[in-house]
Amino acid sequence: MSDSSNPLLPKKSPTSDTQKPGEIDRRTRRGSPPGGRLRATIANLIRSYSATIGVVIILLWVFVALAAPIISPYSPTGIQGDKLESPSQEHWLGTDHIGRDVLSRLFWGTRVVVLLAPVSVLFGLMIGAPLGLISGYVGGAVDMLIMRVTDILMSFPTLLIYILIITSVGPSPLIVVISVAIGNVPTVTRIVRSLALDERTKDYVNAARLRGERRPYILLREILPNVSGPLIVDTTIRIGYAIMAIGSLGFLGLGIPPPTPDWGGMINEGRPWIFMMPWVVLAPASALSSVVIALNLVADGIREIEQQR
Amino acid sequence: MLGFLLNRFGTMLLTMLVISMLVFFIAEVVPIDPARNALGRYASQEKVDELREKMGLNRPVLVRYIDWITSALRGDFGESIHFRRPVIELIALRLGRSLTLAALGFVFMIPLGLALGCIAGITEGKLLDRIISLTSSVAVSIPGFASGIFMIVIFALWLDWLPGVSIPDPDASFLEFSKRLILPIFTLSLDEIGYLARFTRVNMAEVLESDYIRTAVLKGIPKRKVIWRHALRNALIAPFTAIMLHVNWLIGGVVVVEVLFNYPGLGSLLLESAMRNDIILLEGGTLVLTFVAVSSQVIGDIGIYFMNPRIRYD
Repeated sequence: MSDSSNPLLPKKSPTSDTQKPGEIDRRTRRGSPPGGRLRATIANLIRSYSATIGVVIILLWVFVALAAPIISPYSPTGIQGDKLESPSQEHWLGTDHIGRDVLSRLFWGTRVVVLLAPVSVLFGLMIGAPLGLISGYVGGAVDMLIMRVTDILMSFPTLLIYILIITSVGPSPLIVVISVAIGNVPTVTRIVRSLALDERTKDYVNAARLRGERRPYILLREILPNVSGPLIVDTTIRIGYAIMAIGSLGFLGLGIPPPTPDWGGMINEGRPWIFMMPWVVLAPASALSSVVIALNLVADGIREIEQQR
Repeated sequence: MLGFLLNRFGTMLLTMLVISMLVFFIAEVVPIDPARNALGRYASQEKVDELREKMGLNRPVLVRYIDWITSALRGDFGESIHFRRPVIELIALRLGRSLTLAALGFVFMIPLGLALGCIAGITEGKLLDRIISLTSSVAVSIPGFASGIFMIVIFALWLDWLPGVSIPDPDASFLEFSKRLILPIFTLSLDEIGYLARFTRVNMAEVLESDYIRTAVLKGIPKRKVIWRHALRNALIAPFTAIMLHVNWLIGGVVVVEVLFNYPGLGSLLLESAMRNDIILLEGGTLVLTFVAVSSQVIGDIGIYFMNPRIRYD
């Protein structure tokens, strides 16, 4: 029975319900588990140890990001102590070279990461996914053109593009987001394209075409829901890459301008003092690594689930 | 075969053309006033106008681009705004150093990554495999600069085994010289080794399950010989492809590592020019570095083509 009231289930085409007994099921769309796909995914995720750890870590950091103003002992930009103090009772992670509390900066810096990375990936997705769908489904000259362009763009080392864009336009959170989004578009396009190519030959697509559905409908309501599984896995990994990219940019001095705390920027600023007070750089480096590791664990978990379906 | 080569070189030319247009566009067309950017807010208007004249910023865009690209092809990338020396000089000095770093990294990471991946694939499911897999997953997830920081703190600060800075000193002994390079190279390759190990492992496991391997084992060929003579060759094809596609990422990694260890290569030069808004140096350097990336991909493509007879009849 198609549950058309549950928004989480992919919509089924009307022809799927009319099937004579004994007829081979020509639908190649995977069936949806009762209760909804989201619930099933979460239930399956919890079964895997590593994925659970990943989810827990991510939730912790999201909590830190949201609660930063409340849980930070000090203000992240004010001067509260001596320069380069070692970790102590008052400053759990010590102070940086200006005298700001490292722990508070760490907490506030989470906001930058938690906000900017997913947004960049989302922008990249919003541009890349439609391109990939069109390219894969329509084929022909359009496909060739889009593929050529993505090939060329992918030959360009990503970090260099970021450096170039940020230098000419000037560093700001918006530009960082746009650059990272642009950097993601070629790969997203390719992935969605190959997924669309896979789906294009399946029967439910033919059925929809025979029904006379227009292309946008087919792309949006038939194909897209079915490619969302692998796409979600990829997006999770991509958010990890975006975090690394934003961190790298901050490290190179091209990220969010100071004094806003940003993990990459903290590493950049604290680098000259690394031998005197390593915690200024160790804390953000460990934080960054933990987030990306957690994301990869979750992505692995989701991937396993998708493959079993 | 000749058709294939021509095709590849043609693509490379087209790629470089489009990329050069992109670089020029972003560097000189997008900003409102590149000369003002380079000289800063407090420079006098006369100086800015002087620089505008020198950069030829008042001419139409197409003319500027053609001028730039034709001189670039002759090796003249203009004069750096900040250093006041020809860009090509600055680049040539540093390119060799970056290439050395990258080449050494390559030499280090490829055998290690492939070997680890093969071992993991062969011993699939056992403890050794799990250890390798876990470490590779972690290695891939830690961003380059973060692992560099960890390395510096562990090896240079806490253990004091290796120096944390890597400025090549012509007078230093060979031992000193190599000591300085160990950390940067290791940092550079850590990511790649992890990635390569995971990739090779999956491939190796797949190959070992294929029919012809089973036939060989059933024929009575000892397991060791099966692996060495049959499985290895086929399992290694895909990882080589993956390596070649990763050159792009490697360039980014080189930039980060050079900055982290104060290694005076092209990557750190590029960053310096970015910091100083030296748009001319940035343009030239980006173009050269991208050319290195693109040409290594092409070389890799050609190498794979020759190595794998299966794709020749495409």
